[in-house]
Amino acid sequence: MKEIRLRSCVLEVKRAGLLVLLVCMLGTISGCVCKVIPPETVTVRSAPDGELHTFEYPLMVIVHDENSVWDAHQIKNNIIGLTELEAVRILDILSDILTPGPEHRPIENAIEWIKNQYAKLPPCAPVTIVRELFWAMGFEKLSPTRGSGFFPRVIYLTDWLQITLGEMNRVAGYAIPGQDTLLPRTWTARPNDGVDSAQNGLMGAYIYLYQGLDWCLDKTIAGGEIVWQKTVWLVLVPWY
Amino acid sequence: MQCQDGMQCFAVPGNHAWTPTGLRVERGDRLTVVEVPDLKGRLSSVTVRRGWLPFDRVRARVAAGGSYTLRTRDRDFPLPAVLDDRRFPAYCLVGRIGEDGDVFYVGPRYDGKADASGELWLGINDPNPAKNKGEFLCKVAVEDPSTEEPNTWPRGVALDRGKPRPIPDANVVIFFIDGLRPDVAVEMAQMGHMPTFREIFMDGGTQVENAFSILPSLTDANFASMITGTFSDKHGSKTNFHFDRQKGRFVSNLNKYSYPRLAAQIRQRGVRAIYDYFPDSFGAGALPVQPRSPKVLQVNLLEWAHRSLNVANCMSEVLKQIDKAQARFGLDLASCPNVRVMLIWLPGTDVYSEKHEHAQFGRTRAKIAEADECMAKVVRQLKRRDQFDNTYFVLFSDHGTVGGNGFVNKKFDLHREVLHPHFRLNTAGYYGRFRCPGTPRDHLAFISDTDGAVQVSLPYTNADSGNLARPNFLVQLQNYELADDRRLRALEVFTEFTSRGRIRREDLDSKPVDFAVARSDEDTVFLQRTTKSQAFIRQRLRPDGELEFRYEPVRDYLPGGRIERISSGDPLRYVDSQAFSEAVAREGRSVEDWLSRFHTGKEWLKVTAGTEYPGCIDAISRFFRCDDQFKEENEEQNLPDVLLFANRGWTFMPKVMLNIRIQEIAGGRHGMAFREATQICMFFAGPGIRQGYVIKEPHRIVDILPTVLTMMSRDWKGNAIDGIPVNGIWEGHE
Repeated sequence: MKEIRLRSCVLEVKRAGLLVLLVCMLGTISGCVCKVIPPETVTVRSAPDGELHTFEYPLMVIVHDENSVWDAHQIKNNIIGLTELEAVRILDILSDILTPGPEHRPIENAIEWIKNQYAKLPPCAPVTIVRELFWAMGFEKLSPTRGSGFFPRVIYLTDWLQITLGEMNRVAGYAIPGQDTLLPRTWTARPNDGVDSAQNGLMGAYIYLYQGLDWCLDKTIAGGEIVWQKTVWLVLVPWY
Repeated sequence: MQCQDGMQCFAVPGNHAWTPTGLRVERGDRLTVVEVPDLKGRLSSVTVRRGWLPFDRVRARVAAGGSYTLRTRDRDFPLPAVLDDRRFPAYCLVGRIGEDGDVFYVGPRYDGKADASGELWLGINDPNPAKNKGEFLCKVAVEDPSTEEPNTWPRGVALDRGKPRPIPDANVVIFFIDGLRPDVAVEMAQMGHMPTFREIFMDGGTQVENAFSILPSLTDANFASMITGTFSDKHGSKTNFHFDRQKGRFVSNLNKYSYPRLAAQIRQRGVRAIYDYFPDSFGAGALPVQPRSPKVLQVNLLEWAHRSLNVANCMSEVLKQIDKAQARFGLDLASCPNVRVMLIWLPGTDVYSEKHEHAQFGRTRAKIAEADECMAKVVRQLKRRDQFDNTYFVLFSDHGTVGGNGFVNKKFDLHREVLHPHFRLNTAGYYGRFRCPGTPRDHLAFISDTDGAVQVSLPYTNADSGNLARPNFLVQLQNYELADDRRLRALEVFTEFTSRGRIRREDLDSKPVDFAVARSDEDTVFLQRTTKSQAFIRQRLRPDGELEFRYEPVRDYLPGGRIERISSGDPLRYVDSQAFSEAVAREGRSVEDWLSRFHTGKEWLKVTAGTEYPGCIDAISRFFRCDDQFKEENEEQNLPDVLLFANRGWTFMPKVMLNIRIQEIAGGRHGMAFREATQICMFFAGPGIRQGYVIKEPHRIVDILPTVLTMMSRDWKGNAIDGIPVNGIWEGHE
């Protein structure tokens, strides 16, 4: 029984391998996966006396194209990018598919309109606090798969909390004659600085980590591209 | 039909290629054609109709100005248009005199002299007009040639002096349109295709007409200069790529990982950038020099990436729709409560210029028109939020663009044309490693292929030394030893040879390399156009800390040999330039006297602004300089041996680009030292700033930061800034 399973497993792997090979070959033919520069013979006149020389440039295979949608790096970026699509954007895309003509983005525009109207309210503390809360929460930017923007929102909210507590401290200060805040600024300055530094540090570390992972993936793909380039080169050399 | 003002009115149907007007025009007559509204007061329009399948269907209304952005499959327009990769808009109102006359652009308004005699015909610039609907309404007048032509812009010329009067609590929005040529921007605005630019910056602001980049005219170096207000000897970002001799590797500044590195490098040098001046109130999307996270909310690549993806819908489309993505993030920034200084980079113009043969005189105009729409979005947002009236606007570009107007750029493969055939060296650069057949692997030189300026680093003293850690000075370069013991004058080979041997004397004007620059000693650089056209640029530090430069044209110079001065045919063509001698005369000196003395960079810029190579003296010299106060470890060693500038019609690119499969054409390029590549856009607008004026006095890109600091009522002095504010923009000074 075990032997039958193993055989079928090997068969599946072989079938998958053949399929991948077929796709790669098709890609090669269609020019998606690589471009072949045939060998070239060039005659030159070298300085300073103009002596004639012949250079034979060998066959070259190019597998990377930063502008092509079929490039492995782009495919990776597009797959990761899928996790970033906002719920609002997805709804807008659906709505735009149903209505002919140029993009309307009705939900996004409606949200912007509300935000702009709100921005016209007089700049008093409650208005500002509510505006900054919504800015920090960024509901309109949420994506169903959470995306890379989820963690920063946590930091933005702590930022908002910090500003709000500061504002409450300032307002409460009116109750105490001769003092502009409830807790003296000398008490709050250090914790505030500490939180600021922590926020910036965490944010920086997060971006660093995010970019680091991206860099590792890019390097891995670049390694794969080199292997693929060499393989195609070895296959093609006898033909030229 | 007769209009109320005595002009003839016509309806030009959109479904006919040409319509005769019956008006006779004589050569030299002043001809005026103006688009007019219909009876309901709306501008007339033609609906362009193409295809019927959902993916192929186009139904778009265009006014007499036509469209740069409408995309159809039409080609071969009667007046070569943007869809043909040419200068004019598609589907605009056009005219011709006589049945076989040359087609000319009419658009919303034509006011010019007739260059032929015959009947005036009007039509639509459309190769397949049959299915269109609607008509253009216009009125036509043929007048006496002596009538003066109206000139609505500029309103006047302002002198560059005065006292800044910024308003309190101001905001500043800086639009950075990468590579936009000022002449193209003004022309498109006058044709009615950049309405926001026209409203805010031309009619509502002041242009610094003679504004120039630093050298080489590349993005990284110039952007760093803009945000720091300093030259590259202070901020350290000299070109887009460089070779790190100590680590033996090539460093690119043009990928997503390098942007934060550049910002960190500037900070480590102790140079302050715009985001350091406004730590809590600066906001920007993606930038060529990207601080990793100076403030949590405003400058954040993750937020930007998220937004841009949701504009373009997929990552691979972001670069194609980069301007829209940046503008969308700009709207977020305009909504952000803390942002007071906002910088929006719109790189689409440069990206497109590089991909189209006629660059900004062709298809790129669609991108420029889109960039205007992007600016309009941000301006509208500020108006909606009642922020418009207390906002200053700045528009600048970091370099010009060469090509597309009169000529199309060709590639010059420095690897195969010079380094392989003459030096027998393998080469490495941004586009990969290129083997020179028959050369051992360790015989290697580095080339930073970047548009119109490249840095070359050769092995020290001889091709087979394998020592790339030490730079070559002029003395080594002019007696460079090859692996087979032959010797070459390297600068002569770079400037006067291709793979076909020595360039013929009659072809020297169109040779690929304009001129080469190398270091003679730490304070002197050497320029060579040909062996008969060379020059020294010497620099010295004045007691007050300002740098001074002297330009010394010579010929047939070899290190250790006699210096033979020349009074004509210098490499920067100053001595034979009428503009130069007039400018020098205005300073009360003769050309000979001027060249015999040291002058500051600003003085040099002033006298060379009208020449073919404006402000090159200090810019070239400072490229090879490392400021003692700001320099990093090994910076001097990492300077290239030779800096080459491309000639008109050429750009440095390998024939085979190993990391890009599809790039057959050279497109519009920059980096060169001549005017088209270095002249930049510099416009200011806002409360208290002159409206519709032009300043003729020359300025540099480094002057933008001090002007922005002035707008925000900040002190710019004492910050080691090389630039000075443009004071002539402020009202109230004559």
